Amino acid sequence: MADDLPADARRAAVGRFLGLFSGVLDRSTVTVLVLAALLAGVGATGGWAGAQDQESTLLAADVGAALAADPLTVTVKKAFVADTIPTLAPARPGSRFVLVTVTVENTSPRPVDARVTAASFGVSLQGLRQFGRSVAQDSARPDVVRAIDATPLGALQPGIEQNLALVWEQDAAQKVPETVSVVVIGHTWRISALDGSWQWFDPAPAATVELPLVPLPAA
Amino acid sequence: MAPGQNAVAGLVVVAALAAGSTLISRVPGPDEIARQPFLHSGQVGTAIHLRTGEIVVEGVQASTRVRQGATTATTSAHWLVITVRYTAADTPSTLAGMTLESRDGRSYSLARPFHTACGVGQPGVTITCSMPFEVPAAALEGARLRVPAALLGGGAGDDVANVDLGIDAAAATRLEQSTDPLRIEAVTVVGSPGTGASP
Repeated sequence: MADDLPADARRAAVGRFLGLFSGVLDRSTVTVLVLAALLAGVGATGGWAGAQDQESTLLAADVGAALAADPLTVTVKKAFVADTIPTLAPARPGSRFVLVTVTVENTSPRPVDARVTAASFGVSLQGLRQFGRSVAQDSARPDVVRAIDATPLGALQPGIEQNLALVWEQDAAQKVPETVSVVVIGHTWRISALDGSWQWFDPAPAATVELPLVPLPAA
Repeated sequence: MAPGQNAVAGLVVVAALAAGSTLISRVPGPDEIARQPFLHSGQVGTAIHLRTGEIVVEGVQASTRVRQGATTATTSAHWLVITVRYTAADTPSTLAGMTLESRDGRSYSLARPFHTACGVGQPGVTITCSMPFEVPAAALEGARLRVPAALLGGGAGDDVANVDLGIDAAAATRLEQSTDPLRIEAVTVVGSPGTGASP
């Protein structure tokens, strides 16, 4: 076994092995190969952007502070918990609902649909459910309702401030926490590498807001 | 060739490549050209012929509260309701993907809770649709309606009607002050223009 060889013999074996390639490996070729391996390694571990992300820390914002998270500016206001929310969330056995009120404005020059709006918010709760099934915290999307008329949000039009209700469903077996952290997530407007369409991609948490979770007052 | 000449030649090649790259980046590519829409400009009351049919914008009105069917929606901004008359050409088709464009280049879409398309028009049968766009006051003056001939592709490489809604400063002020609730129909069948028939 190579491990049993003396150090001198091991070096000689390595030298003989490298000698097999001496005809094709000059100094510049080796340099290029090392650089290629370095770039491949960076790519495989998430690229330079990954290093940048790890350096940045998630901003902890105050309740009521305006936050910029493209394409929106967001103000997180209050959080309520209830077994049922009149007109928004009828009672569902085994579930409760967490409602977060926010004010948002679309600062981009084009409409932002309800899917991207919902994907702009996350919440730190255990036992989240969606469409009757358990979902991971990162992928749980809230129902988004316009506060002004209690209709489901279709799109946020540019330059119009809207009060919204974000509703998450949670397993009722979970303990109700005293506080809840709402994560505000930004996106990037770029062209799709798959079909060439322009869309909001690359969700990235922009800030987190911790606020007290209180029972929803009776209507 | 002397070493100095080699360096000059190398610099000239690099400069030529950079210039060529810059030039190419500024020239639209074939895909970009193919995606350019065929704009058909018009005004309120004039007929605009698209590949899929003919549209006429009949008028605009505004409110802060609109009822369409069983749905009522309120806004803190303005509902700009645009009524369009549409006659499909050779095949059944629908008006969808319409956008409102403001003078500053922002675009606004039709969205839930209201209908986001104008029914399905049968060839030769005229229908009218009233479509509410939610817009801020600043978007009213000078607004234009863009109607693609078909939803797929959003008008890329296709006919697009570009209608000046005729909203000047006075009209914008009037619309901004309109708060009376509106009741609108998503689709109304008018009938065949040729026979004057109606349902």
